[in-house]
Amino acid sequence: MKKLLSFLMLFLLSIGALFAQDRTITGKVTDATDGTPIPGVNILIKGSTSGTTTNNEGNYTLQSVPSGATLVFSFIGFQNQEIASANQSVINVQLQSDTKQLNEVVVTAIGIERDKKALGYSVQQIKSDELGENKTNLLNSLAGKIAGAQITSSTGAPGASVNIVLRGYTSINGNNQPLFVIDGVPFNNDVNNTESSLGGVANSNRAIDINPDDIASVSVLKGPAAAALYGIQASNGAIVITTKRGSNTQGKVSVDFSSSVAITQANKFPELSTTYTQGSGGVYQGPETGQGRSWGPKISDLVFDGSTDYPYDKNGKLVLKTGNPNGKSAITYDPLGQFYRNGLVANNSISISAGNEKNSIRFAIADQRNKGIAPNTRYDRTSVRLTGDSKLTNQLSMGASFNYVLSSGKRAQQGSNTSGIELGLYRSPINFDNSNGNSNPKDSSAYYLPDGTQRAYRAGGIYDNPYWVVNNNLFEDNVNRFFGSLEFKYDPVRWLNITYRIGADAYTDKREQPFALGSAAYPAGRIIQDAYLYRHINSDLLVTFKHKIGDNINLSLLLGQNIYTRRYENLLQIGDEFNFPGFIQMGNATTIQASQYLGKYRRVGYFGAFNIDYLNMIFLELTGRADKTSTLPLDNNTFFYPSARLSFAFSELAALKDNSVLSYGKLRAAYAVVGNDALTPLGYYPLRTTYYQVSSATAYQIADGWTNGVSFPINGVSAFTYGDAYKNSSIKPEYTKNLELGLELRFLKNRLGLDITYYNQKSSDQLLSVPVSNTTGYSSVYLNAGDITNKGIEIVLNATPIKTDQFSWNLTVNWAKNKSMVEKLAPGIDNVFLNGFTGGSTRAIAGQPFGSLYGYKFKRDANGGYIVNDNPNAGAGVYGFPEIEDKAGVIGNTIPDWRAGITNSFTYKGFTLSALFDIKKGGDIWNGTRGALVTFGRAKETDNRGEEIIWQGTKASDGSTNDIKVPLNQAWYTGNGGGFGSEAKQFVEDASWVRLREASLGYTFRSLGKTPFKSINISVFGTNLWLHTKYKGVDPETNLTGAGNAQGLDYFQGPNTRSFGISLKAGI
Amino acid sequence: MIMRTNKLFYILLCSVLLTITACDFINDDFTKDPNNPTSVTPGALLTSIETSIAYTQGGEVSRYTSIFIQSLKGIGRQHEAYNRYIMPAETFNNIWSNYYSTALEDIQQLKILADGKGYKAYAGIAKALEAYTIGTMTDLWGGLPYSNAFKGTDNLQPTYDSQEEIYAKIQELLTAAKADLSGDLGDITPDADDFIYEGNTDRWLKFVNVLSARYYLHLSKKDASNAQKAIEAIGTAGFETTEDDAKYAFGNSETAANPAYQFLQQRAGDITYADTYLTDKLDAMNDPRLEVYVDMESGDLASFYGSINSPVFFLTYAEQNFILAEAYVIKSDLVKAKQYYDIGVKAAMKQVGVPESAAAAYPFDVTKPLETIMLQKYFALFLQPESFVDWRRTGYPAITPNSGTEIPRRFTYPQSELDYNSANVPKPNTLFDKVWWEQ
Repeated sequence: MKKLLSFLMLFLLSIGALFAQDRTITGKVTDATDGTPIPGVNILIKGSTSGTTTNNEGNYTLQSVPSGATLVFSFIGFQNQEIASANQSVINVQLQSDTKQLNEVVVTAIGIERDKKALGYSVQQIKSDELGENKTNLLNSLAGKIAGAQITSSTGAPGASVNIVLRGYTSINGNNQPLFVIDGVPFNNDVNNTESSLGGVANSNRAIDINPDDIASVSVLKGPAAAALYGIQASNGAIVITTKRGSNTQGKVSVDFSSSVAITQANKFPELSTTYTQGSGGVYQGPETGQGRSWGPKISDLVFDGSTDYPYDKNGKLVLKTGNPNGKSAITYDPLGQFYRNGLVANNSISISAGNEKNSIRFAIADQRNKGIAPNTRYDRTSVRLTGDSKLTNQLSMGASFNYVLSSGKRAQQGSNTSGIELGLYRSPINFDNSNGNSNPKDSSAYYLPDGTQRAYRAGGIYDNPYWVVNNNLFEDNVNRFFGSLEFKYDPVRWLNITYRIGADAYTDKREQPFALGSAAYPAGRIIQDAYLYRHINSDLLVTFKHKIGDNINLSLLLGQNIYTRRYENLLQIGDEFNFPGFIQMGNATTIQASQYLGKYRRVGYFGAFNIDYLNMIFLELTGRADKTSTLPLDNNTFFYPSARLSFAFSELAALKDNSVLSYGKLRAAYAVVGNDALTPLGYYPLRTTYYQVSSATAYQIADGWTNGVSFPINGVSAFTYGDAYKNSSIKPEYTKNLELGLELRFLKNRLGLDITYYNQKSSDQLLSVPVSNTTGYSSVYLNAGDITNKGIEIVLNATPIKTDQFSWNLTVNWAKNKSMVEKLAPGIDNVFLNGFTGGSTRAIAGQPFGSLYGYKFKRDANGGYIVNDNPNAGAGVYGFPEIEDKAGVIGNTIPDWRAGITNSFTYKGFTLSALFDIKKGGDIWNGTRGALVTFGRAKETDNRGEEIIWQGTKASDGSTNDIKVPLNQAWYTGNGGGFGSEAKQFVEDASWVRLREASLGYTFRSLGKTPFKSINISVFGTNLWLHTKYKGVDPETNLTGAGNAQGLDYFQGPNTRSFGISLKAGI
Repeated sequence: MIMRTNKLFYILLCSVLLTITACDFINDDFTKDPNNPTSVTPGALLTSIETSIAYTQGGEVSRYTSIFIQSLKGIGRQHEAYNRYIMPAETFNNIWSNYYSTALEDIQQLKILADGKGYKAYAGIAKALEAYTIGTMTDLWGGLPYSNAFKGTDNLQPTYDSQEEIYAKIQELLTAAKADLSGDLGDITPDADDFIYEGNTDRWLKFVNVLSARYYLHLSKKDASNAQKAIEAIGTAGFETTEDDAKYAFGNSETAANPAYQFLQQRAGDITYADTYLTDKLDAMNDPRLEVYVDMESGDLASFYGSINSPVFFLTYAEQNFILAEAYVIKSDLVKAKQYYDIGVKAAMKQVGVPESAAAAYPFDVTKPLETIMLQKYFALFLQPESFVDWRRTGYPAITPNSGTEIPRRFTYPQSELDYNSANVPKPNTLFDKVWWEQ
């Protein structure tokens, strides 16, 4: 009853307001320094939430202004003005610029805008025009621009995943990628792998569905302090994206159009021999012998015999020159140069927006076509977007956005996969032409012999000819994705805001991987159909109370509730053994295995944030959040975590306020705890061990690491096995504690800015799947164990060294160093395998930084020399050669010493020239590709075969100086001198680089007078144009297993690319 | 007055909004795994157990022991290094994990299920297969974790039992298996889920006896009285014909295929079965088995052992007879030795579908009885790891190392044990150490 009464009162009050003396006020707002009009200035009726904005000419019209009202004029970069309206009907205002105050607005994780000055933690902002011309994967556009972010592309194949880690790895088994948030709603960035990450295609991370052209700005919130309010998914930071929306254009329609086209090409290949041919022991053995290696004679010793029916080469069979002195010289083919060709990326987009002071709308459509450097491979994306914003009443506003993306690819397998491109291609000897003389990559005479079997450099179907792979066995994926949000903001009174936002993200990702009859990995043929159905719904209810105490103290209290529900489903079907060739479809398969997986997850969180702002100079924020999740034991599934942040804008102090040198200075300190549940490290159902069907569909087939193994059911009989991961019903959440200190300075009216951050982070009680001795009956056990610490420094420097009327030079440098340490793992466990092979792998090793490379190394004596085997009976390739340690250990580390990005941009009248240099110092990669190519006699370093050396060091038996002369020959290189021997450290290389990641030169036409165009920009641009590195393989920005915790692995993945192109942008 | 009421109203409204949603959102619907069962039938487990033993034995175990015993040559990639006995500890990770985490753990689960519900047939077969498995394993490695193993998080680092203790356990398990298989078999009995004997418990009883004999014979080098124990174990209750051979039958599709077949198909060029000590010897004698063993041109296995559905042999009638022959040689009874030798050679021929008359080419040589028996056993047990045990116990066949001065005498403990149970891994731990029964 009382409520009803209050409601009635409100209603009457508002009606009453209608009958007061209202008038309309108009005017123009200009810049006090030069009189130019300022569009978009906010004009508010003080004490209410009604207002308007100025149009493109700086004019405004404000209706229903009550008598005696005060108008507040505000705009970023200018000082606010309050003007009593008295009885005027025209009020013109000149605003003074406000260079001292940094009124930058930053969007925090929950979608709340905060003044950067008030933030107690480190945030870096990238505007849409800083994203560059690479529009395939948003993460590539951020590379080199964010201090402390390690962004690593996996390969140059179109659509390949990109890994991003801010501030180091905090979780051993779990997700270390930051949370993606679009317009306040979480956005899924998973990578789904149909096959093993060691050999399959380079799948995409789902952030690839974001069209960079739709982005207005990206806020990178690093570390838990920034994301403490957002919850557990943001324990590694958050990438908060604000998209472009309509605005008040006084009803005028504005159209933006952009189009670009670029050529891509491989930028670096492994160093291969161009001297030695297929064979063994110096004797030529051609393709028909099935010889895999290149230990044959020099190509200059071989000639064609002129036969016309030799299916492996149109010029004839190769024979020794000595017996055929008149034969045509053998041709030295270039397998990689011939196979990889120029790719093409074309981007087109158009957006239409319109709005007035109450409503605005924006529609955008964009299309990308990306043809890869491997023939027939591609990645395409089409996205359609509609946003609408409306001020329903003075107190209630609503915003909605709907996005639909069609994202698809045709990809080729890579890695340790006999049916991938690179295993066969990189090992192809120089005497074999994979294309069989054809320039058209689709010509089947390249990969089929006249008898219908496969034509490849090794007869017997051992590696697929790369042309076979791209014509017969391309992986196709099709993603339909919808994401959108609906948001209501209600300001019933001045001191209260209620925001409710509900968002959804849903995609279907359907893949098909065929293996034609005769393929190396599945000679009888195989077809895989793999479908992922994903959706999540996120609801946020935020209530903010504001209160002012006197003139100097502002308080606010935010209370919120969040519900996040996710559903993930996977349907997998594998058909084997085709009845007849030419029809690769489930209907032609003799055996079919199928499996399904359903994961459901839900999380409810309650959080609060209390803010005190004193004198607009000292800001204190205290937050707390409690989460309840479905992956922790039902009787103990709630956990609480707090944070505190303090910032002190000391440049506001009276003593410093008008300083001519220091325009702005702020100190910040933050301490935050973030909890994490079991979802990302351990999956949807981590609490109880179950049985599994023995089938490759559940990954519990019975196999032996070399072969595909056995899957059930067979002849109607099923087999089930007990899970070998011991699941634990008493797991607890893991916690990350983070301390962050920062200093921000701006000098000389913002001509020079510096932002330094130090952080110290400890993650403990990690939820790990810890490998255990198989003798326990399990292979791994889920438990809470392990501590990782991360410490580091991030520095961002902004400078405008030269600024005149016509010309300006802007320089931005970011530099960061991260030191991580795996303090301990579980009791008795000193390393956890992340990914890799028995020869070389990436692991988390106690007492080492995260991401150590692990394998065997040569024994060394006290002086660092080799310990050489001096037992004459030890055999070729062993006697006289270095011995290897008995135990494997750390042979390198994948984390760099430091990373930096340097952006220079110059503007002169309408021209803009900009270049981004990206530097990585340190960080190792296990070059397994080079190791294998040494064994195969294809690596350039084996051109020294036959040379004799004496290994520097001492003899194993007595420690005397080694004097045994031995040849570096096939026995050595195919044994411990190569990748298939026992020693891995010789193939671990420093992957430091300096590269010119982005460069562009453009001209913008403005003042186009009579034409409808507001501006036209033409640019030429390039990515990865120049690379300097000592690494001996493909571009060292690479990782076989793609985005994920195991980095630093190079094993027969495709090369990276560089591109150059031209773009045209126009606005109406 | 109005203002305060307004404030109150809004605060009330907000708290209602926030708490209205505090219902129970997280329940069993979200925590229970809908994808995998928490209990299964005993048959489903038995099939998994038999398959993992057969695949591991017919795959890596067979390949590596065949390299040692020179009935296989590694010629490409990693196997070329294996051929020269360059085998890092990771080489054995898969075998160890298949045996412990799959086969033996499933056996423990089956024993719990069968004992709980009185499924005696399953209990007996489980114990027989457990004895078989730990027997194969101890001969390959030596001591093994067993009495403290399979305890999950209660013991993450089990200590190793000595080989002597394991051998005692083997005989214990076989005795218990015999008891299980001899009485009331329980409500559910194996049938099509038993890929070895299709639920025929009479054959399983014979299997238990012959297996017991095999393991007594192994100890004859340490204590000759074991020869008699072997003979007694078989008594009159052993295999009677090659029909009783214990073998796992693989299927007719690529995903049910024999491990040796799969390896030759998917890793072509890594190994060859031609031009080995074994094929040289068979070739020299014009033995008709050569044709069905190995395709000398391609180096692949021929029809009998290399087809998609070729079986993997666990224990054969031929082996039984060679066990008896050897036992009698130890007891200096050459007459009985010859008797069983002759039956054994014929059985070996019959096993692979070759005329028994070919056995006539191999008369028993009383001047070198052991050598004769062991050579025939070597031929008969082609691809089986038992040959590697035979060579170590008797010194036959008389092979010489591929590389260096010694042929390996065991597998090393796998890298996974060195990583996760290092405190307990016995030393020394090289390929060339002799296991207990060989010392």
